[in-house]
Amino acid sequence: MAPPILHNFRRAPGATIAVVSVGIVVAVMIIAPLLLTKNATELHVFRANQGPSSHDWLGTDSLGRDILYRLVVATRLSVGLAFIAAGLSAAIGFALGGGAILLPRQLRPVVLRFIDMMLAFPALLVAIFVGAIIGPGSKGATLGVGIAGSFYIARVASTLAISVSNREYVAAARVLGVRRVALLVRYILANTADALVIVVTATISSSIVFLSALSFLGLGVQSPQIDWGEMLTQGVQQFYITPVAALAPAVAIALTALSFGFAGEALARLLNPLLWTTTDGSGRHSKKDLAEILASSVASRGDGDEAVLQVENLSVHVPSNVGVVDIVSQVSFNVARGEIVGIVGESGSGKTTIANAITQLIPYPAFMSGTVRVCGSDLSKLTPKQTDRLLGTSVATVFQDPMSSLNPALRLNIQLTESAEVHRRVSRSDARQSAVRLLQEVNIPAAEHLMRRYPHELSGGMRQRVTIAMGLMNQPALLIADEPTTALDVTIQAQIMDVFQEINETHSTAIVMISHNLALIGQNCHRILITYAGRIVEELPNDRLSEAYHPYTRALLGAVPDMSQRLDAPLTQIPGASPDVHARPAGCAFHPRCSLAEDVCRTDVPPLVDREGVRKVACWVANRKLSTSRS
Amino acid sequence: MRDVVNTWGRFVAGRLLALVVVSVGLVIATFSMVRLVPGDPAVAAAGINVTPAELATVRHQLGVDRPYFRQLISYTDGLIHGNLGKSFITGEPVTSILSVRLTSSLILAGTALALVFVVAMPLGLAAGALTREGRHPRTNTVFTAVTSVLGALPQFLVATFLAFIFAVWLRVLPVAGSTPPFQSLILPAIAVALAPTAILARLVRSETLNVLAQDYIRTVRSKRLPAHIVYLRHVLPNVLTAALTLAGVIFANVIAGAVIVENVFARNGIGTELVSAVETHDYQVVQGTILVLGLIVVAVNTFIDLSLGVVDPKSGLRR
Amino acid sequence: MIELDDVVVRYGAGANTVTAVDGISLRLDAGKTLGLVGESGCGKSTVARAIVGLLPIASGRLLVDDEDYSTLRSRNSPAYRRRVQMVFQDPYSSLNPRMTVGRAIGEAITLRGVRGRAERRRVAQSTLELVELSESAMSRYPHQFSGGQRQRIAIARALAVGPQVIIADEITSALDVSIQATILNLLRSVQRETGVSILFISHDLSVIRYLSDTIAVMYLGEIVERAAAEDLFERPRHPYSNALTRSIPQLGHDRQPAPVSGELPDPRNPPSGCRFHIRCFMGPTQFPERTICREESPQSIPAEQSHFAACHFAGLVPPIEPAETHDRDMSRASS
Repeated sequence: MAPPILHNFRRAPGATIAVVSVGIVVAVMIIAPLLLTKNATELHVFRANQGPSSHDWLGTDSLGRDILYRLVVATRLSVGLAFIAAGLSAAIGFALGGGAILLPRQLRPVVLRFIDMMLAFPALLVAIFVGAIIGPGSKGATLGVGIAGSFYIARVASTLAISVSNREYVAAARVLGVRRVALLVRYILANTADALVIVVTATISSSIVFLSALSFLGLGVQSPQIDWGEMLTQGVQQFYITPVAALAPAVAIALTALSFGFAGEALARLLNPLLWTTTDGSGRHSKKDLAEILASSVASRGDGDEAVLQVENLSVHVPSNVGVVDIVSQVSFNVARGEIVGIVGESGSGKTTIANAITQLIPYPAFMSGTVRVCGSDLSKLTPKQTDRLLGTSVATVFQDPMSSLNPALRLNIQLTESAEVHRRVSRSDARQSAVRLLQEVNIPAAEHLMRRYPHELSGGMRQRVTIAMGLMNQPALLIADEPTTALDVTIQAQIMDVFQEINETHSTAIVMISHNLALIGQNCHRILITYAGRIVEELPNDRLSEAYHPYTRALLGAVPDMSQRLDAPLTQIPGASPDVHARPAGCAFHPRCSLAEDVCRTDVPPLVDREGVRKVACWVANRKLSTSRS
Repeated sequence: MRDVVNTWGRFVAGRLLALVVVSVGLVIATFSMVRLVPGDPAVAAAGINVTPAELATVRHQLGVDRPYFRQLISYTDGLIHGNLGKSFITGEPVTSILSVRLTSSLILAGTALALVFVVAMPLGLAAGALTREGRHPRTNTVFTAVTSVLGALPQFLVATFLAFIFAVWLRVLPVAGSTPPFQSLILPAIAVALAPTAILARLVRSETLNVLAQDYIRTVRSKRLPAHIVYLRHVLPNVLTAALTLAGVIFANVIAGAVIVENVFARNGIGTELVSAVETHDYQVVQGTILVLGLIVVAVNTFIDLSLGVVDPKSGLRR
Repeated sequence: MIELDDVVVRYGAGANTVTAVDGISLRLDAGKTLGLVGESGCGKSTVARAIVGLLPIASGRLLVDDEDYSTLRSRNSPAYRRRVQMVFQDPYSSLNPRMTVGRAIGEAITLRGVRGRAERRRVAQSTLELVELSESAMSRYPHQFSGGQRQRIAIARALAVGPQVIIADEITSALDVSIQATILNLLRSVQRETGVSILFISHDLSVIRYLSDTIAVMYLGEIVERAAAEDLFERPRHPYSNALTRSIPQLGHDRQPAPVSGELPDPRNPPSGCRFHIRCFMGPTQFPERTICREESPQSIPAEQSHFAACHFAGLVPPIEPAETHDRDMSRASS
């Protein structure tokens, strides 16, 4: 796939402008002195210190020379020397940075430490230092700026190289016997090229600025040579008379530096295949108006005060560049007090989004329609404060990755107590006592001691227990557990499941447990919901799981290699892949992968039909067979 | 308990050792500077129109008529006693030349540094909070564009512009000199602080967005705590660590900026002294100035490293 | 075929040295699959990396067809690499994002020693066929494929070398269940067609059971049990294997309380004697008179035939209720 250059540039006008500017600057740099030196050095003493006029567009300097011509001719030294300095920085920088990874492990930290140290020094001082040795003039200045700028490049190059060399594809390449040089070029360099381009162009930018600074201070380019910094020095002297004399070179410096910076970023994008966009937005979508969506959501009926959670016709919509896409569609279910309900689905099924919708945490710009009632209160009818109060006290969530779901900067005690302090106005010491009791309840030894610890001092299993205890602080009626054990070992998973069961039995806390692990849900929940492509396709009690009606559920059951699987039979393979939310098939979302699909499945979405009161299934074929077998 | 003291002890000892090593390296480097000058340093310092006798005196003053190590030892000995040598041009001791000017420069650098953090941190945090999850895309574009442009503006340019606008055009603030102290500090401080503030603000915003995307913020949100607790208690400490890591670079940038900006505003500081010393080949002064500045930078960086050890929970030193 | 004899692997330096693999012995026979199962921190991935030459072996021997490859250098040689290849866990990071599939497989073909465009192309085609990917994949980049497809590409890349042994390190852990099934079936068919031996590493005992002829169970750097697949599940002889089996949720069975208590000890500081004794439901915490578990490290005691278990009380481990075997091919819904 060749880089669609034009396509990308058309979409980024800033980049185009920058690249064009750089081109112009380089052209001027080469050509201008050849043509315009005479004009730039002509003295017209009687026309000294004039402002802009028709003859001299930017006015004249103290010796009557036309500023515009001088500006243009000065480009060669201002930019040319910067190129040389940047080239020097790059050469030294890559050598140092490359040295950091090519050297044996023991020497590496020494080199890195050296680079860091040099980086800590103001580059200007380093440049002045070198310049002082060689003496004022463009040679010293260029050398100084070149050396000074090398440490930043060295730092970035070494950091990038080290991080890339730790990637798994580099290890894989080594296993394939790829030689060192090829490894460096095709693997490490190829993956750092875009960042390095940015670094190098940034260095060109900063070299332009630095050299001008040195010339401005009188330490760089000396008369009669011209660069913008030198012009700025002279211009500053005429400040009060003709400010243009100073502003012109200043603007030239700033604009050129910026152009190089932006051009570098544009070039970097070109080098990164992951950023090449092809066509946008494929697939069919429902285009609905916001008002239409909200208006069409069915008014809730509001029955069952026993229910801790009532979800009715919940849909979650995401605006995209091809219209509004539904990632969750018409989901309805209830959770009674003390019940454990499991939601099973693979990636892209929308199960986590359902949980987020219940706790009103759908990320912008997605929005929901439908009704969610918690302990009888319709969330859409509450003020933000009431919502916070209700959800903060009645619902708690335990998330998937215990290694990252606690704030690493804070001790555990405050993380445990803050919810109670805020929502129930409990004093900190009382809250701490409750926390210790809860920690003991979830089988954490030395609970008091643990309070003062930081999250990183605990193992994954311990952290998850802490998170559960944290959720129980306000005695919630409902606990939502979103893949709570996916990141844990199976023996620890068993322990955590014990904790959930105990909480459920002791406190009658209802639990909504979300997972991709069908067996886990089957064993631990009273009732199971199967989700696929944002819809519930089946609902059943856990003891009837093996007699599921929906083809997807049955296929999932066959795909899991559990302990009772016959070893000589292949696992059930579901052809195709889970649909992308942006490209959900029409009709029943499962139909392209279903061996029972009929015409109606391809066009109409099957409704979730109630069977026997505790079982629901959304499948044309299954429901037809069930109805006919009944009659 | 012993464990704690050990880890801490090792950490502090390590940093102090680094401090000593770097300082020694700095002394040797600045000292060797004169010896690296191509040609005869005495001629470079004194000029060509000088009698052989005068040249010999200068050579003796420079100390280049003795073996290298002898010179180094006497230089170091001088350093320990607070003696940085004498200026060739004026004969004044370098230490007295620097002391007054150092204060002025440090005041400028300190003010600028304070400005940078006081402005950039809240600005970056607010920008991050506003533009999280892709909200307010226009604010996002404006913020990024403004900070990019401002962050790329060289400090001497900003100084020149500011001098023009406020001192020349509007005649509101003084343009040159170091008196009166406060008013003459404003423009230079802003000139030095503008670019680093823009860069820091962008970094703080980017880090804020990073933190907001973390799992633990999702946990905090699920607890439905008020916004001020979320940002001040949970987001800020994590952002602070990242900002502190950049503090060293910012400080270096501020020092360099002060050096240049002083020249624009004709403040009597180290910057102006350094420039004139280089132009007049007054090597003793250049040596002394760079040594002093270098030591200050190294000391500040060590302090920042130590603070990071305390503040950063992942450094493993917090118990 | 491949044999490990009392192999020790360490990493880290100074105070942070971890002996991740502490004297294990394994044997993988030609054309068979050996499953290596264990939880986090048991060292199974370290074993993989050592075998494949990414880590040195501190002591012990590694033999392939009776040839000694114990030195890191020998394992980095093209001769060894042509015989032993690996497929990594994360399909999102084990393929170079800047290389097309064709070039990635090309690296493997180069190792194999195949030259000439036509011949190389033929090898690439046939390998892609083996993993059921179309030839059009060759010119595309990894990010254009799904996780399952990327894993197939990774398998193709390993197969293109023409190895005798493939090490599959948790290759399905990052995939959805339905995709996992595809990969597992694929692995089986590839083995049938090419006769390659597979060292299959996983933390998921049910997956291991499905794929392996022999199984070795690891805990904290040691092998605690080794048996033929059916024997292991019929009657695990080590309390850890027993507990591991019982911890796995099973469809159609009631849940059991967690058989293992406590946390995994710090690998830098393993417990004395038997490493599992602190958490063992048959050890001194439950039966105080069994002090031997704390004092002496158990040698592998052969239980019967080729079934080894490193436990002082291996014979006393209670059997697990056998699970009913169902025909799970339910793609034909019937009700």
